[in-house]
Amino acid sequence: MVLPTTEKELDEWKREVAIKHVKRLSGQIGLRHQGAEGDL
Amino acid sequence: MSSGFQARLALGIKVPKVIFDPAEFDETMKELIDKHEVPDWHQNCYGAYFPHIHAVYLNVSSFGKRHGSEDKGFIGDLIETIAHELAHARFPGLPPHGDEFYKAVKEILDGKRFPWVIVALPKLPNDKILVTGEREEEEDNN
Repeated sequence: MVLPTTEKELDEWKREVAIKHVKRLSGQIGLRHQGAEGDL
Repeated sequence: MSSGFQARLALGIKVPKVIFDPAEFDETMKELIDKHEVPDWHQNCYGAYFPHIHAVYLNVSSFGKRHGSEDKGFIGDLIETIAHELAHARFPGLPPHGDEFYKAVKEILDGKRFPWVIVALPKLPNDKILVTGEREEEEDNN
């Protein structure tokens, strides 16, 4: 595991962690949405 | 569930879009803010849910840095904020920031799993979000 050492790397790490938890919690609460272009 | 429906789920259903910087807001998001249709939005908010376009804003740079956040840290603030904003998406029928809403947020934070819903996005910004169906299956790998 490579720890972030610069502000930019830290910001990217925070974004990656955030997206991971958005996906996890979206799955946990059963949330999905129909695409805005209506492809469902 | 039919195989055709499963295929469409795999192809067409996504988790919310995540925005990290107000500079990334598009015209629709700015319009929703101007119309006060984004319940949590203010300049220094932790996060906000954009209901009509199913997008979440997360102010990740502020997490763990505010007064009262010392014990929670970055991850604590992050997870609380995501649970709060996704509760707006998952439970559009609950009045925002009422007792039932905060009960749902607590249940999410406690790890409760909820049945699937599919939120159908309207094509016009002024239309309401429609919850079109529910299913009980576990998460697809898409």
